[in-house]
Amino acid sequence: MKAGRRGEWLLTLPSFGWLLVFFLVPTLIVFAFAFKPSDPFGGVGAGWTTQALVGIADPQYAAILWRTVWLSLLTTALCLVLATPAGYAIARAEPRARARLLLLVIVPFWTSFLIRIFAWKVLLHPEGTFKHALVELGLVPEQATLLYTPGAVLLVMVYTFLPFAVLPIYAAAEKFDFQLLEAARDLGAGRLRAFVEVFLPGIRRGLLTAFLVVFIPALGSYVIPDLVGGPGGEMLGNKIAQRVFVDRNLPHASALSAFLILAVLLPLAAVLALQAQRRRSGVSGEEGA
Amino acid sequence: MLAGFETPDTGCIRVDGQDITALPPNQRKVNTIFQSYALFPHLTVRENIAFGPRVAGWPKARIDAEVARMLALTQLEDQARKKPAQISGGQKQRVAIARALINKPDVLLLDEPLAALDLKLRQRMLIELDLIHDQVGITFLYVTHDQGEAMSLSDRIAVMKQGRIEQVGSPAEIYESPRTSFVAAFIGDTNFVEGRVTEILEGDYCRLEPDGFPGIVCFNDKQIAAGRSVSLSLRPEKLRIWRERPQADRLHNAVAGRIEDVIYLGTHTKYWVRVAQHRIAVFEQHNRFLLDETPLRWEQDVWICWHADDAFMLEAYSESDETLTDRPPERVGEGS
Repeated sequence: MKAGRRGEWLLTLPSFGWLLVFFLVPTLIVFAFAFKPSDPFGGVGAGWTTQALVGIADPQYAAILWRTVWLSLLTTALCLVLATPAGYAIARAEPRARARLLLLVIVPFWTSFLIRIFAWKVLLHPEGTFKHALVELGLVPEQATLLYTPGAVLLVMVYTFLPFAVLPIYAAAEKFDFQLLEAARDLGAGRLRAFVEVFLPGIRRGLLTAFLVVFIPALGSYVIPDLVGGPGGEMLGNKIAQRVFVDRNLPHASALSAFLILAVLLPLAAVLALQAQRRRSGVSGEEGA
Repeated sequence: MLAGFETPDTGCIRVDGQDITALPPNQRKVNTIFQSYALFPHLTVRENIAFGPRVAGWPKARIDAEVARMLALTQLEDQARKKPAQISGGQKQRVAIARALINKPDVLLLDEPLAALDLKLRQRMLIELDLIHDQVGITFLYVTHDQGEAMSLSDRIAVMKQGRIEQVGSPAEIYESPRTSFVAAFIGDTNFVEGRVTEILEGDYCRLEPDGFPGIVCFNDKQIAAGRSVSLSLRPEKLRIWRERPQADRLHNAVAGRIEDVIYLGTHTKYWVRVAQHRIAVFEQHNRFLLDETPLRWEQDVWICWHADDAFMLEAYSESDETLTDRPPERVGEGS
């Protein structure tokens, strides 16, 4: 038993070490840089200052932060809404069909992420075939701009993150006992009601995972808004990149990054803490009964 | 099909004279106890039981009262706040029953409800099911492969073979006068002997010449004509073993044989007796086993006797029924 524990620790050590050196330490460095002065050559100056922190209070960021949050939330919501029926359908498919459907979900990863975004640029381009087809079908007016809008960012983000939502939801649905749906129907629930009251709670862990793996990367999106967003579709990630590459102001970029990290981590930590507390009180209530 | 998850190819399903064939499951007044119980894992016992009424939109006070009544009926008051994962198999079974019964269905469908339980619990739950049935007075439709469960719980049994009903009747009817050899073999143990009716005797009896047996007299309630081939079904517990040839009687049959195997089973002893090419199983109750004279032994020559009314004739049985009589192998590895 003890030897087994030790073996477990030894086995997980490399991955923990990797995370420590290449994830946790750089993150802490970013936090530290936020308190440094910038130097004119694009590096970090000596001493400590809160100048960068004061700098991010600039009102121009408020609008961008707001857009970043609502675009990310909307992306996540659309991904979950699309991925839940997809995950359900894949989990209920015949084993052979299931393998093929899963392959279809993964196939986009065989092409570079960047190339796929450029492909969207071609599709949405004012002279692109996709745009023309939409105009021909009377779905959009001749003058409509599809590219370089927040809508384009939303579309491409949903496209990009959808597989990341489908996979955990499928994994949860695959373990779900579908007889529970029959039981719910047997007890008088309609199809939709059984789905909402029995299936969704049954896969809630998958939904939570899907939420996290879509929402967090969406908040940090940079390439997608950069390529299809235009000035009206910028997100916080673009601003951070501009501070680094255009202004060559690392502390300012670090302060923005740190702000984004905390903006994600703090609400998440609060939710997790609340859940843990509710679970504890639930258990103690059990003992009291 | 009764619950509504599958549609019949032909025919219709009527409950209380009302055709429900086309109704979806949620609109049928039929509730099901699933083999795996299918309790909702994210809900407590109480919430599981309240699911049906909540969906049906009962007022809250009525739900609370009915749930409390069901909890009391199934003795689950102490478990009401637990999740299904925290209770035992027998308790889950009772939750499943309460969850179904609270909806006051016209029919409660039980799909092999005890299959997941161990023997002791199964026997206990069987009695509990019977008690609940007596209390609520709802029709139970109990699907099982276990003939013991079927016999002990049922008012009426339908024996099915490949989707067709072979016979419907009370447990006693099914056991004592099965209509087909499948039914005879499926419910209880029996010996089959092939034969031909040779002579009709007075008083609804006939004479039979089974291969390897001397002439036998059998009750002929089915009025089978002379010359027809039949299977004679001999229930092991209706046969008696004698050391010597018993007194001849018109309605008593006696056949000579040799004991091939003796299996002591506590409540009774099972003898395999060789008669020509047949191996006949005989159950012998021992009331005064230790006080009795020396017990019957292997390779002893004996007589098997039975009254003409205690055996019954069926149309010749088919190959597929053979497996159901569960003959033990006569040699090691036989039939495998």
